[in-house]
Parts: sequence; structure tokens; C-alpha cells
Amino acid sequence: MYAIETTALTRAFRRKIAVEDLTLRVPGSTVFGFLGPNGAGKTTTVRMLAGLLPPSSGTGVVAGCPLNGNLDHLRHRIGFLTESPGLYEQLTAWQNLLFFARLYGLSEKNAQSQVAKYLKLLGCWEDRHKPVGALSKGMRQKTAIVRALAHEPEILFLDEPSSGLDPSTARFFRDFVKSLRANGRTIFLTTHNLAEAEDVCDYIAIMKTRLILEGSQSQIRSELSGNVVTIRFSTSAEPWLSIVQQLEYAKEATVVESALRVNLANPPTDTPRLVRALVEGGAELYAVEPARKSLEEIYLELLDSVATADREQPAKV
Amino acid sequence: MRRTRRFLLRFFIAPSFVLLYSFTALGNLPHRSHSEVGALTASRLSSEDIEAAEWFSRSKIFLLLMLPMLFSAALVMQTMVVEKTAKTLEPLLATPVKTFDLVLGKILAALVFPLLAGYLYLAIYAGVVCLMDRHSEMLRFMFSPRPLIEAFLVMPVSAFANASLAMIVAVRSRDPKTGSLLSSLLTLPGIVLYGTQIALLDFLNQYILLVCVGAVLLLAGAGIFFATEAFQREKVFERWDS
Repeated sequence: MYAIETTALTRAFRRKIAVEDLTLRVPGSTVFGFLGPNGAGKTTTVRMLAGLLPPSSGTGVVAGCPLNGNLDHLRHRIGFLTESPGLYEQLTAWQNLLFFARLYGLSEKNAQSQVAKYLKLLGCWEDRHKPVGALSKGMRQKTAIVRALAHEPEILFLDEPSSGLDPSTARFFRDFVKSLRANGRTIFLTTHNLAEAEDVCDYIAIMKTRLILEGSQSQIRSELSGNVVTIRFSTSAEPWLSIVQQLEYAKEATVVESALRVNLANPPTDTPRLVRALVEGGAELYAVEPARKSLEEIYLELLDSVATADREQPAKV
Repeated sequence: MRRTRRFLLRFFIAPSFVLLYSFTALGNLPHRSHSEVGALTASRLSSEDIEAAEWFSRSKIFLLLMLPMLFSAALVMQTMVVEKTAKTLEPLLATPVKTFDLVLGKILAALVFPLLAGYLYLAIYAGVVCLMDRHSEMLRFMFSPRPLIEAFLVMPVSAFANASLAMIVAVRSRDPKTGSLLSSLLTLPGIVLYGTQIALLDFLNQYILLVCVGAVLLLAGAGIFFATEAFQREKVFERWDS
């Protein structure tokens, strides 16, 4: 059972297609990173999943609620942090949060205890009686998170949660997201911040109107990193390059600081042979590990290849 | 800057509103009764002019009807514009609150201040009339069925209807500027109503007014129905994002 499941979800605004044929499976109790450039359709997707926009076609089930069914049930089960905190600036944080908690159907007493619990957890308790307009961006964002969590949703949608935050607050958010996952919540995170996605996301989807890639982060990185291994030496790597270049199964080798990056034909069988050859040649190895591309490298390469493919494809009329 | 604005709002603008209402009410006071006006001006004015002066004095009660009607429409428009520009509408629509409740809540909230202001106007008017000599004739007119129906039925119902129409305009407009512009057109029915009431002053009685109230109530019902339809969460974002 997936927390979010969509099949061929499509959304068009008049002639412009914002999201096309999106099929996603988001396992429960995970952090799902939803990445893409500006205008890729991320916010439109989140709005569809949060029941704020109906899909033009396709189906979806979020927290057990079909997107074409009773959306009030869905809204009770999800929390939504919009890109902008969207709080009433003249009201205090406490007044804002109680107002929204009541809209989610919490009783006055329950609303107060839930809001107090999360305000304390996020370190906003002292500032609760300040008007939101007087709070820093980080505090507003934290207040908005409390709003999204006060009714204890199963799934939390976070749309660019750390956008414009200082590094320490952004770090705080990442840690908080991890703690939410540890408590069994599913988090659907859209972000431009690839380091953040790399740090907190279990699963990744990259989209640009269409879904380009989806899978667990470890799977994606190992699959897209190619057959490259990194061999680290105690001393300089330079003297050992010539040995590697003589091996027929080593297709390409480069020196990167005190390491060699070697592209092998078949890493499971070739890596032990490579290590043996180097040791017999007198090298002192420090570590051997499969080379992994960063999420940023994978993301940029994928978008570049999509852009190239789009340029080569004749324009649709 | 924000502190200055808050200071102005708290200590200047809001009291100014109260004063403005008070002065408007005082300005509309009948200075003299019909007979006194006649006695004072008989030497200089014709009897037709004296009739006209009294008719004008009686008609001023209708000005009261316009204020909540226009202000509530402007407030509805403003709340929507502010929700859009401050980006507070999206989190609001993400909550499970019923669309009808949301629409009705916004309309009722926009009615509170203008109606209170209207009744304040009426109270000040009546209060100062009580201080005048020979006030009984005017008070008798004010507390006869027709003005009471106007104040306690026509005024809230017409304000409600206009606020509902303003909500439709607010939701249908794609950007705040267009919305504000279109909302200004909502003053037209108010002006037409005011003009019609003055023109029909001698023909209006409480029965005709009650029929009018029923008609405006139907209009308000239709207005809130269509406003709710237009406010459907999906339609709002579809319109804004297209």
C-alpha cells in the first residue's frame, strides 16, 4: 500500500500542459523528493495531490482517498506547507495557528494543546504572541509548519520549505523532516535544493512536465553513476596510472587527487582483478569504493539530456 | 513604517470614521419642522420650495441604505484581494472547511462593520434629533414602519446581496487590479437604488418595501449560490494559474 499513488496524472491549463502522464508510487513513512526546474509542474502536482486542483485526466489515491472522491476526507489527512507561509500578518502566531487548527476540526482545547506542542518542538513558543508580520522568515516558516502539522496529518506536503532560509534554519528543517519520518509520517518534499534532497530524501523523482526519473536515492545513484570505481592510495596516485592503462578491462582511468577513477567493463569481476594487479605492482591501497555521482550531477545530466532530446524532437503543433 | 501605519489606524483613521459619521448624521438633521421651515422661509420661498425641502429631509434616511451596501461590497473585494496578494488563500483552501462556510463567513464578516456603522449613524441621528425642539414629528417618522423596515430589513438584505455579488466578481477576477476595478461598478446598483427610492418616495409603503425585501433576498440567495459555485477551490486555482 502506497501513501501516494498516481496513474497517468495530467493537468492542462487551456493549451498549456503543466503535468503530463505522471505515474508515481510513494511508499509510506518515507521522504519523497520531488525535483525539477522552475515551471516543471511541481507546484501543480502538489496542488493536485492536495485536492486543490482537479487533474485533467488520470487518477490518483492520496492517503487512501481517491482524488476524484470526497476531497474533505483527503484534506483532513494531509498537511500542506505552501511555498509562501501564507499567514495573516496582523494576527499573532498563536491566533493564526488556533484559527487554522479550528478549521481542521480540532476542538478549542485540543487545538491549543496541539499548537502548543508543536510550537515548543520547533522553538517558537516564546514568540507565539508576536504578530506574524514581526517574525523573521525562519520563524514564519516554522509557524507555517506548525499549522500544517497541528491536526496530525498522515502525509505532509512541503513546497520549497527551506527556500530563502539561512543555513542553520535550513539545517534545522532537514533534521525536523527526518524526525517526522522517524515518527512514521510520509513527507512529499518539492525542492530546488539538491543538497537538501540528497540529505533527507529516501526516494527521488525528477520531472520536467513529464516524469524523467523515479526511484530510491541509492538505486538511482548506483545505476546512474556507471561502472566507475575509485581507488584511493596512501600516497600519490600518479605512479599507478600506467599500470591501470595496460589492463584491457579498464576502459578509462583518470587521476583525481590521491585517487584513481577507473571505468571498468564489469565491476563485480574486474574490481578484484584490478586490486590484485595494483598490489602486485607495489601499490599501497587505502580504499576501494564504487564511484557515486552526486544527486546534483545526476540531476543536471538528466535535465541536459532531456533538453537535448526536446531540441531534436520536432515541435508539436 | 508599519508602526506608523498602525498608529495612524488606531489613533487617527478609525476615530475619523466615527467623527465623519457623526458629522454626516448631524449634517442631515432636520433643522426645523415643516411648519417652522414654512414660517421662516415663507417670505422668501414659494410653497413648492418648502414642500421640496421637507421631501428632501425625509428622503435622507435612504442615504443610510447605501452605506453598508457599498462598504460591504468593497470589503468583500478587499478581503479577497488581500488573501490573493498575501498568499493566504492557498493554505485556507487546503483546509477541510466547506466552501459555502468560507463564502458565507467572508460575506458576513464584511457586513459586520458597515452595518454597525449604519446603525451607529441611525442612533446618532435619532439621538441628536431628541435634543432638538419639536422633535416628536421627526421621531414619529423615523420610528414608523417604513423607515424601520428600511433600516432593519432593506439595509442588511441589500448589503448582503451586494456583498454576494462582490464575492462573485472577486473570485472571477484574475488579478487584484481587475477585481478592484470591477467592484467599483457595484456602486452603480446602489446609486440606482438610491435614485429610485427618492423618485418613488411618495409611492413607497411598507407593503411594497416588504415585497422589495423579498426580491432582494432572492437576489442575495442567488448571489451566494453563484459565489459558492465560483469559489470552488479547483476553479479558483484553475483561473489563477491559466
